[in-house]
Amino acid sequence: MASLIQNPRLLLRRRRPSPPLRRRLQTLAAAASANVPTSEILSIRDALLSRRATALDIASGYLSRLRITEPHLRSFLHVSEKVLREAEEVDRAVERGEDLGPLTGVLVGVKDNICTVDMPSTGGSRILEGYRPAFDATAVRRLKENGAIIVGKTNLDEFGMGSSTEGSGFQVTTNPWDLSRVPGGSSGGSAAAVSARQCVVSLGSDTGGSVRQPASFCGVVGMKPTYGRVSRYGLMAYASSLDVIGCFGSSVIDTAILLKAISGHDRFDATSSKHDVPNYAADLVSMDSVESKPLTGLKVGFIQETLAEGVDMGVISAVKAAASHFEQLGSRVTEVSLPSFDLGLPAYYILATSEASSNLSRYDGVRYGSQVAAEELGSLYGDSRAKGLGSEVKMRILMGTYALSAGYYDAYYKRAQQVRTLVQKSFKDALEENDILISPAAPSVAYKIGEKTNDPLAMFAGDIMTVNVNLAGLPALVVPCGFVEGGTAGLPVGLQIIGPAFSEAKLLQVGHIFEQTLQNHRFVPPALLEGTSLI
Amino acid sequence: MFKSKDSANHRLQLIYKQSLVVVGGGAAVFGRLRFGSAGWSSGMARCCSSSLSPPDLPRLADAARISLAPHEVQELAPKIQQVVDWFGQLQAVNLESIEPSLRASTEVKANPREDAAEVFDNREAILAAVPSYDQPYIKRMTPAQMIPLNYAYLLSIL
Repeated sequence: MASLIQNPRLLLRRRRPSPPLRRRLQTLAAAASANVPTSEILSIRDALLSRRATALDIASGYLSRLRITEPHLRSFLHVSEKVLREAEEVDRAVERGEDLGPLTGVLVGVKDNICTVDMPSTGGSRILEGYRPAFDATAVRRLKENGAIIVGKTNLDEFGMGSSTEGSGFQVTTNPWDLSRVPGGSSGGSAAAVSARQCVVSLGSDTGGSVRQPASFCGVVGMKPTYGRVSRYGLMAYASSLDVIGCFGSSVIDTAILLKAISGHDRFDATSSKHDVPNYAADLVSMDSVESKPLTGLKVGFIQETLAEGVDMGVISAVKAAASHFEQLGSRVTEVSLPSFDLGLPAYYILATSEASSNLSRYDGVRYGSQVAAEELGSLYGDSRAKGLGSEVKMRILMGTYALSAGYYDAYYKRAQQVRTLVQKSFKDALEENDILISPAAPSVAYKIGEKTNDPLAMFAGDIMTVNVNLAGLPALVVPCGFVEGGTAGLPVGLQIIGPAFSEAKLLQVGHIFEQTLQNHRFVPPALLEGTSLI
Repeated sequence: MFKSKDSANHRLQLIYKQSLVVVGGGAAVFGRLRFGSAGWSSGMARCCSSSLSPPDLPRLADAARISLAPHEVQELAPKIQQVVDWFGQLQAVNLESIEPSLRASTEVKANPREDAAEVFDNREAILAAVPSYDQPYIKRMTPAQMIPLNYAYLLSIL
């Protein structure tokens, strides 16, 4: 066996949990009895290493909860048949004393627009019904390398186009907090699955808010990383200059561990960044050693334009309470204006629909997906696409085709790009005066299924809080911060925390402290506390 | 590509024009969007209208290679018109001397990999995903070729 000195990699691999991490585990165990979220991932790791539970026990527990809740939630388009087998392999690895990756034994849900080689990947669309990709997305490959068990593919609005998951070609996912309401979108399945504890963490994608808004609606933590932080290889493209893969967790620590696992440069994504990936979870402060005002010196800017008319009163008061909480933690909160805020929404939709009209031209029934029989090639394309694509997707492709028509570039696409420059500049200015910016993650809480399906502009309006962040490519974290009346136990409200490019570590540190010090709120859907029944 | 469907296209054009009359004309005036969960549509202020020709749905569907059914044209046309008018508000903004941004300026420098051919390691799976593969061609199934399959189905349900 090579000596440790000659092979430093062996040294790293043999490292046992460091003392600070052990202390964190003890803190978490203590906190488990309180209201604050604990790290499911670290609890699983602790249980496996101390032999208190097997991976098979843990996986069976999640699967049985999944099976009981799925008929009501419908968050999964496909559930893997290999979960228990993979859990048994984990148990064998634990017995052999092998090193365990950070996500060992952790059940992860993957949004169905992210390619997985051993499971169907439909993008939520009938045009890809039954499609099995020839490769794993880089993010999925990294999950597997870190020891994760992929439990299944989650439901979404078709190709990521929508804000409620009602646009799925297959089924409508419900909100675990109130089954008559939407979970948000387009990553509604991933958010609902984590909220209902059908899996530990999940991956989503965020083009205009598709991770952050469902995180807010479902009362879970949602992370949209900086554009380029996570490889997009294997993510079915919607709008290539805006798409990112993001994470869901029931706590900030779990989200941080997941983000670390999937981040980093990838030679298969020319837009992926070579920027260093810090160990996000290791940087999170143990609440034991935290002083009374841990955020002293932090300058927080509350985006003024997000308090305008049209935002629910309940959401405003929850977010204002969060701002006071920040002040109690020692930070300085002031209002800041983002001058191009309102223009961001039409600019976003021009850019997104234009890029989508190009990206979705590949779905023509020729190389993959469902093909409609036709007499000649033009009809083959036209009919396959007509049959396989949903009406929201068709609408957006047609809008994009219009905006990119010859002679219209100056009027639409170019102007939207110019507004993009303005939005980037206003964030840059605001982030010079402030360390982070805060706002609601959505102008409302989860609304009823069917409430907005016939009204495209009403649907678009719900994205006002999130699209500007995508235009600027910045990272944003959503943490649950309060409730609004509704459902059986209230409907969750999420706080959005925005930072400069590649400041995920800072956002997670701040979010973690906020989450761990938030009193009087427990973000577990009420039915789950009683048992596994959601009715 | 759609030359054989000229008459169908013409019919679509008529339906499209009818649907616009229902909405209230070509360049309808819609307002600046206000956000919120309910009641936003009643609170719309007056704003700009687009000075460009309105979307010609049958032509756009042709360009996007989507065979739209007549009822779809009727359904989608007013929605698209509404959204395009809402896009029009960008024309009222003074954007002189602002550089357009191609993408987020998050230090993403182009990192292209080497321009060398690599054989993909799972070619069988790529070919397995093709709906109708007849080595070495990707085939187009004609309706006539579907008949034996349909016949077999009919037999099975009798």
